[in-house]
Amino acid sequence: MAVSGRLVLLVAIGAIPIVVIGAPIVLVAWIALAILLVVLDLILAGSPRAVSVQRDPPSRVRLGDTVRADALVTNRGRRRIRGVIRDAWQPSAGATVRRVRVDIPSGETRTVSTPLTPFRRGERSSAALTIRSFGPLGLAARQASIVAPGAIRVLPAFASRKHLPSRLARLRELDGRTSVMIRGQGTEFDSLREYVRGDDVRSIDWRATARRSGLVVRTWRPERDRRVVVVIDSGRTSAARIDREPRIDTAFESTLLLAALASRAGDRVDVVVFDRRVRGRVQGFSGAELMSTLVDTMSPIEPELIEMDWTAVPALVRSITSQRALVVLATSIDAPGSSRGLLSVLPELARKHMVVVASVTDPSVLDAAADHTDAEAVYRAAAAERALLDITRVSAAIRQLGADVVTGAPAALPPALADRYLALKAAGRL
Amino acid sequence: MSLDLDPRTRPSGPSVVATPRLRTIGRRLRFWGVLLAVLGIVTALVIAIGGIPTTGPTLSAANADGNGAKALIEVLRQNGVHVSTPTTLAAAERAVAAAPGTTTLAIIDEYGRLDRARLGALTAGAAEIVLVDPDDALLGALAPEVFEAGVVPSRLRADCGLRPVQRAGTVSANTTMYGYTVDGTVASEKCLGSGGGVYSLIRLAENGTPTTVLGTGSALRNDTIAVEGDAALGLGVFGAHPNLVWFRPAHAEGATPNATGPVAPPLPGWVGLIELLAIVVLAAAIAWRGRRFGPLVIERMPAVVRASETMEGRARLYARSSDRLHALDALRIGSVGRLAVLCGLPHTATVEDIIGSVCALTGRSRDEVRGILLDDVPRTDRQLVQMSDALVALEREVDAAARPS
Repeated sequence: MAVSGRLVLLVAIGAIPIVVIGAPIVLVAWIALAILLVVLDLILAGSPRAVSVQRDPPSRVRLGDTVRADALVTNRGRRRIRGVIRDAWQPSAGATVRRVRVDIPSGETRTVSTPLTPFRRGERSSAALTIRSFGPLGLAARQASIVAPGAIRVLPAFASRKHLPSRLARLRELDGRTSVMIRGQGTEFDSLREYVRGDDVRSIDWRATARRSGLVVRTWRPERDRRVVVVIDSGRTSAARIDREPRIDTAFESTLLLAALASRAGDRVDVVVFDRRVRGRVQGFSGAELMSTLVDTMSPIEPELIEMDWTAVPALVRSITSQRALVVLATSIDAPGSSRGLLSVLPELARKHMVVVASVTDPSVLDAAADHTDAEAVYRAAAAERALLDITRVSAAIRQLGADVVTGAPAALPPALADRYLALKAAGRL
Repeated sequence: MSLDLDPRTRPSGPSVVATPRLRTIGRRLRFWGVLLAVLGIVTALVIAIGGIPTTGPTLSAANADGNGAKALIEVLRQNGVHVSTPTTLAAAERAVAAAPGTTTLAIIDEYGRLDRARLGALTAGAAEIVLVDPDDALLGALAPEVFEAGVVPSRLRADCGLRPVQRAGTVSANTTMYGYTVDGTVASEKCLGSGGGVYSLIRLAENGTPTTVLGTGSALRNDTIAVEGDAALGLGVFGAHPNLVWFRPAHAEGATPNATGPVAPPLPGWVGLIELLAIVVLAAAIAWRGRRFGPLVIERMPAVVRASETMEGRARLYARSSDRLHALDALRIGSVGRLAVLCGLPHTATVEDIIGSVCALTGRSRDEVRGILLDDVPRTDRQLVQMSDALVALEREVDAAARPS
């Protein structure tokens, strides 16, 4: 049961007869009247229990987008339900309208839709629907919560998809180029075409030329059907936020862009999210299926507050592929101490695979290092310089062990990783 | 009817309601309701049979508790003393006037309820006045030569010729007893001294009614009257005359307000009713705003860690320990690395190589560059800022000089 502001007003209006008549019996009579009306209202209100709720299956929405969550509310009681419905979405589901006025005649169904703009990744849910059904006077309401589990799946934002068209264009440029720029061990024979001025004379196919009247050159296309393995660190360092975004989210962004690009380029992409055990694994998908599986797998994963177990990573990669592959390790390289585990397994990985370590750098550190306004700022600048030096040292160590390093601010890392992939592909080093 | 909780198997049937019905709430609370009712009934029965047991007023003649004085009064009565126990000033005056000249008037006024101005009429007919644990206000009215002297030890020996005290020998109490001092120029008997001119029984016999100031009121309580000589003291002091008026004022009275200003007009009758209505309105408003719209929603919050926290922490460590050289060295390492790149030197270049290149590029003296990059030691924060500025200036200069124009 709940009462409305009207009841408060009704009771307050009782002051008028009390002042006019001035007898104590008026007060008692007025309160009795109010109670009587409330009871009447409660009796005449439609039952909020005689209601059935149906929800659509969980919809999927990208982080930052808006989705409408509908619930079909059917009044199965004999009386009309007039009142307010609250769909109890979690705060992070970002419901902008929390209460909806409804008027459902007996036996009819109405849709209660709540626009949601979730601000956290993962499964956002609503456990119940609460109905407050007012009587004809609007003084008091009957209230009940109906168990109606609903959920939406909030996928990673994939904001870096805006970089995809330009990278795909670059990929197409690689395609069909003569081998002048890109001849290497990894390029593959594609087709023959007529010679045009500017083509490398070394790519002229003399045998084909002999069969035709004009000169014919061989063209090449970038190597295909290579393996890309992405290992995302979901350990404690990935929980740290840079520019209000956890490192793991940046790693997801980079992975999504790389996967979209690589799958278009005809490579096979496998992704594992790992700290001490596998939190998510996407293996053996391609094309559109790969992307949807990827975002579905990533969506509920949160960083665990435990240390990453790097010693298990070589075996993990081996379990995915026995071929040579591009192994991308999305982690953080902060300090020599905390990167020791990573450094210890790099030689083993780099012997067989092309290893790229992708790490987010903090742009605020660079800003701090450049700020020398007062003593406090200088101390901060010194600490920032120290942090940059640590990163430089770890990067140097990684390069020395035969791996490659890609760093960037949260917004810059995904395209940087994609560019590195394209460069490796162009050089035929995959 | 069976209740199937799985919504998938019953998509269109009546839904599961989380809010319990009134009946269910009632069933859940039944045990506690019954318990409360039983307790209520038992309490009501106990009160109906035995009345509410309360602690009576201190040294009340009718109080049989530990703090009352019923024991003393009853023994006095058995020994033929006529005891009356008025609680109002008028009744006390009547009781004293009933037997003028043969009455002991005992005044027990622990809360200062008596009006000093009206004591004259009361004490006029008494043969003797006993003030039990009086305060300064009462002393000022009836024994202006005696003053309060605070708390004394709770065990006192007879040390004077006064008969009741001699017969008592020793007076003791569990709780505090009070001592008094007396103006030396006045004839008085001082007993139960505790040193330093402080006495717990002072009898003034001069001009008019003999007045006894008694600080051992706590020795007269029911729970201590039987200890040592307390009973003898009480019987001796209060049983000296055939009548005893045990006056313990129950209310403040006598101080009638005589200064009356303009009387405020009486409030209209509905003001009180409006106040009651306001309480009801408030209750309704609380119910209106306070009713929760369904259960609370639980949200698992992620841990929020800023990545720059390590850097900030290190900066605060430098600042707190004023480790200027360390901080400056960190800046210098960074600068040296960047200068090496600007000068086109390999990773393996030593600082001396870099200093040499920088001198060649900028035309600064070797000592100056060496000072900026290696030797200068900052003594104050000001110097630290200056040196870091010098580093930045040097970097800019080298950058400008090395840039192809």
